[in-house]
Amino acid sequence: MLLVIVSGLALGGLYGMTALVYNVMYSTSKVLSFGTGQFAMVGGICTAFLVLNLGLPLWVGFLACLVSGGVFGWLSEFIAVRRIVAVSDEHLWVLSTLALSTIVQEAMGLWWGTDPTPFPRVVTQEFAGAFDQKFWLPIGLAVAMAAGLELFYRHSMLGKLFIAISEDAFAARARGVATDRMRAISYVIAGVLGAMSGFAAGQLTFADFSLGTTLGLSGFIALALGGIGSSQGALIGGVILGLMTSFTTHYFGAQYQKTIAIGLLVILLVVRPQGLFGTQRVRHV
Amino acid sequence: MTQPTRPSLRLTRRLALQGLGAAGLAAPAIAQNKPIRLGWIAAVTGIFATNAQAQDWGFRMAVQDINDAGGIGGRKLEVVMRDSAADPAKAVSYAKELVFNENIDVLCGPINSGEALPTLATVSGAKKLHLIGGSVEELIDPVKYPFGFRNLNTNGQWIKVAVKTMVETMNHRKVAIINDNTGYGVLSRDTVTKFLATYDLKPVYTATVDPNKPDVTDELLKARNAGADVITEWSNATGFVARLLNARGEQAWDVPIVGHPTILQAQIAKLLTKPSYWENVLGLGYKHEIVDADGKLPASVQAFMDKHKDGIAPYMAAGLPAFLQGHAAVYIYAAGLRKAGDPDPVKVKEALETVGVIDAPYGPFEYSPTNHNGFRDDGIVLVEASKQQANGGYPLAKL
Repeated sequence: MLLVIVSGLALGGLYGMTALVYNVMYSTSKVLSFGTGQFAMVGGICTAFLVLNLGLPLWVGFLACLVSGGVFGWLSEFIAVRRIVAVSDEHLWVLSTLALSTIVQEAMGLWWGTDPTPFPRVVTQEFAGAFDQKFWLPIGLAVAMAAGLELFYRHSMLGKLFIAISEDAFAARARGVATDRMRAISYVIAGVLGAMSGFAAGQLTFADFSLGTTLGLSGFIALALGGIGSSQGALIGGVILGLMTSFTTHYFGAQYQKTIAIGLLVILLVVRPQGLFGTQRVRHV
Repeated sequence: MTQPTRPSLRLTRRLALQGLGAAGLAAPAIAQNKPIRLGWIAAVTGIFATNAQAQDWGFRMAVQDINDAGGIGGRKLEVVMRDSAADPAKAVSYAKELVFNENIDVLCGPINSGEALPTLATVSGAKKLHLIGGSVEELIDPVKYPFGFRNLNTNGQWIKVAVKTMVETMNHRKVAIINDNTGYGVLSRDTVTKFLATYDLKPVYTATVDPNKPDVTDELLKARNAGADVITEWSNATGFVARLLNARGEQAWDVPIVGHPTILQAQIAKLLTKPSYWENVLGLGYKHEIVDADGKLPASVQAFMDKHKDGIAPYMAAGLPAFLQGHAAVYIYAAGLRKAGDPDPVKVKEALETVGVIDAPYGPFEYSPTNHNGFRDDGIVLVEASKQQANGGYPLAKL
């Protein structure tokens, strides 16, 4: 049973981190980017390429993973978001982020190949059952990421600016906040965090070009469960989804995993549309 | 089973016979100089690229061997190739183009079931001979698609051999089925269940899993708790299969896993946390992969590999069956064409139905007017994944 719980927590951590990445971008742009899962894919493949193919040290792979995520984050904002949100109030970003996500995935498939490839062990350790690094790395990083983001939003100027833009972008701009620059910075941060999640979970997911789509969907479910805009909500939403997945298999069978996960989302959206930790916005008329 | 012979030698003999006029009545038609055009659809890019590139190489080497030997009836073979990129819509589009615009004599491919299924009506409607490289049963129907012939085994044959070996040879009764949630995985699960029922057995555990799920520990635990004494897996997603083997190894559970040929791929070994996790893993292979006591492959396979040893290295990772399957498409068509003496699809179809056993290096094929599947069950065997040798072969599994 311990393995079932730990496996579920590790999955939950990965989904929770993806939900946190959604949140960071959403705070400054109100965009739920379809490319969110691809940050982890790019980061994972970048590390595997540098460490296993080129034989570079792991720390170089880790740094390059973060840089690749940051660059991809910035490109996402520049290519798929900036112009789109400037010229249209409609949700055209759905198409532009989906298009960019697809292009990146196909390009990685062509360059890297379509077969999953191994991801390096991060610390020297024989497999240790429920205490193996492939489980505790995503769990630990997810907790650290959620806590770090809370501190960032509460105690740093940049974080407060993100919140100000999230509350009212027009008012923030009127008070002299460079909202476009803040949005670009938030996408770079999101890219770095996303790539870091790909690094932490690489031993579970392998370096796989098709990872982003699945992760993007699961991360979105976690986000909706926890409530858009809430860091602890994203983490708890991920944990609930991960544990539900494991327990569903254990008690009912693997074939019910998706049905129960999506069913849970639908029920929650009906009963509590703002999610577990989200706040309902009041619209002044 | 008749022992396969070296293709190049046999070609020469047959050509010599044709040269002596043995082909008689059909000779005038085949003696034209115009090349015989082979349409060829293979997904050499996209998710099946590794396997498809190896098939493509085998296909082209078979054509090259025939052309080097003077062609068939003095006519060279010409390949008109299209890359479907694993996209069924592209496969259909290219099939139409090749059949209606490129004036091909035969269409070989697409080489996976998902792409091949939607091309059947087009090719059969155009009355073109069709060598089909997918394993799903529905691809072959001599009544609906009279010009379609399969150039590999069916999925049902794999499963039949797997179940028979698990139950009769390995004496296991508590079978757990773990498959991915693709159409192929679900179909395979149902077929395994059907074959188990012929032994009055029901699976003790069944799991249909998203192949991208990052961890399958819970599925393995559940199978273990259900008392499984053997697991059969049905997926061609290497990441999923590797996760399954890793989860089994991490639980120190030495239950045998019997599965789809994907489980034999070298790519799987790279994804395993420890090499020992590949022990006690049996995959569906072919007799053409079985080495003798001296480690040598069957003569016809060895002859092909020796002849093309300079270019074979990039394709060895996909395994011998991949390039030999591509080779088989040409080999089978050539056998029918030689007997028919004329590329007219109706004549080649009748020739293939009556030519008897075609001993391709891939394995024995035997078609009839009511059976266009061809591949014989005795061409399939279970091999041990960890026992692969440098030449791509395996010793016969000791079960």
